Amino acid sequence: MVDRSMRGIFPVLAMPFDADGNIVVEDLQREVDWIAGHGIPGVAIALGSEVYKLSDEERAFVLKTVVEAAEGRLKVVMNTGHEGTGVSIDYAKSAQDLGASALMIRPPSFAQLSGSEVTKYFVAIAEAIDIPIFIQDVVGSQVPPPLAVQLAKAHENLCYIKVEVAPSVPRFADLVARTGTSGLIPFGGSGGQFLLEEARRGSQGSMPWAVIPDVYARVWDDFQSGNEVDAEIQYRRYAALNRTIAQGMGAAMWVNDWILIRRGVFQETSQPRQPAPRPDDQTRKELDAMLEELDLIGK
Amino acid sequence: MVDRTMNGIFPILATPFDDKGQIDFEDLEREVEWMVGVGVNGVGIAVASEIYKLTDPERDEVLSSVVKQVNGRVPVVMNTGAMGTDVTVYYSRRAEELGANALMIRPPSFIAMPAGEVIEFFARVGASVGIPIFQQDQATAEVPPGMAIEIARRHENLCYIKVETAPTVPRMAETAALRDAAAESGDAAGDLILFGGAGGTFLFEELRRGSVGTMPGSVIPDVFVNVWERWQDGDEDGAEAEFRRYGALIRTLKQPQGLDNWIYKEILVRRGIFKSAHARHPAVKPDRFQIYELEQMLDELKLEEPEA
Repeated sequence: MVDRSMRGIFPVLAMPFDADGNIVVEDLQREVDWIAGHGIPGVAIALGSEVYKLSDEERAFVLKTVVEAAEGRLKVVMNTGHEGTGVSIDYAKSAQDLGASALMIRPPSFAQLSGSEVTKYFVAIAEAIDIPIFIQDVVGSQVPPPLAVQLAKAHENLCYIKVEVAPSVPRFADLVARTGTSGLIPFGGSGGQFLLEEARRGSQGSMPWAVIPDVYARVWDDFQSGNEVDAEIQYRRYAALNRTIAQGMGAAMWVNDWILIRRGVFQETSQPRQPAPRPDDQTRKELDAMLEELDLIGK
Repeated sequence: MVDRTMNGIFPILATPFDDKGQIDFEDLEREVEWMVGVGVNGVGIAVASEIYKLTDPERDEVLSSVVKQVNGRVPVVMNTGAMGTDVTVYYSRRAEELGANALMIRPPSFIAMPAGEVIEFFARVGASVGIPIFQQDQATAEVPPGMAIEIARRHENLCYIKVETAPTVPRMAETAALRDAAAESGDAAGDLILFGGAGGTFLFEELRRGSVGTMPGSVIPDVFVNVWERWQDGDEDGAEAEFRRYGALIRTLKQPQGLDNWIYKEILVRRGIFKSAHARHPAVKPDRFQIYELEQMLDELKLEEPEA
């Protein structure tokens, strides 16, 4: 029986690289341990982890490292999407063998496909494995709500979806209204910008960045236990920071590293792999001012 | 001589419609009066005004009404971009006749054009009027920094740009650097004046990198004017810390597909400026939760009462 129990905050891990672009294993282990220490249910290795800049060998190594460091405390979701169905199946099987709890996959996007081709792609992967799949609905590779429901009906492993096409708030409402008996479990993403708005419309969890997992988990738990207004007032304090992270994937990688350095999780030289446009030094000062105001330095 | 003095807060007016979609000119006048009263430096009629859902006679009526109500107290910027050069020239001359102080124009985008055609488009429109033009650099109709410089070089009227292609922060810095290099070498494009947009999300980051103003939505002009004035007075930290309080609201205002238009107006209704929150179709309508969430935010920010 496929695992339908995943709920809550699943941060997307930042990938620590040194100045030569090598993965810094101790930093990755420290990050996983730090997240688990906040009582968080899971993590993801995905686009925010620069998974698309890793070799096949590195993908396997990273997943293995994360699964080991999690020591059973965290579910691990691995992004295994690829432009070709065959390679995507190979990635999926390999991730399952290495201990992934679930996969996350977006439709091939290099050549746009019709809904029926997208369905064939997802079903072929789902049939090849025994763990659940998060269908990823993202700009450039959309899975509109009617197609999402169709996928969920086509195979029991296609039972989660991460919705992140803007505006995500009405998209959630639309999706949930159509879900019916398909059993689809929706998560949010988009850097957690609309975390609580999405929760109110039926989101069962979210995959934000890994830089303030403690904050996300706290407001999520508060919200779920009925303290909606307090949770939202708390969360709004982080809007400027979330906005600064969400300046495109290149900037986000740098900003995430800088935050994790300040919080004592990554070492000082940590940086993203190329290509990733580096924000100017002024951005780092602006970020520091925000981290200080939010009391996030060194913790 | 073209007016190079514009800077500061230039909100884009929301266009008030009644529940049947007819323009409510009484509310439009109230909105303009409120803006000018809180001390904005200018107003714009543009994409956020749903200008692309107005008929040609309505465009004229809205501009005339705004010009009349403003009565010379602040400049009025009119968006006159169209998909063809001739129609853009026609809209632009018409706006100048009706009293617009500046124009804002984005490159034709329905069929993506190569740089040479876009530059020629701006050159022809720039030569057709006697008022300055804001080049509009936007996600679906980009004016990359290098192109902005070439456009500015073609006519002195093409001397402003509103930068709103994300990420805007490095883009503002790059446009400013190219402008400064042009100034260094005595190039006419050295006079290009930079504004921010994109809802004012990165107001201060942009100011720090060469912007001299911004065009946010029209719902919290008082907040924008307040932080702008504090910044001008040298209180950078205080202005920015105050502005960060509005981060969640500004995020909510930036939801695309017409949801933004409805939400602007729901706020303007609650602030006593508009009678109806109606946005013209097509526009995704907020659900009842969105209204609840908005009211929570307005309540926390103490914005529920009209201030003018």
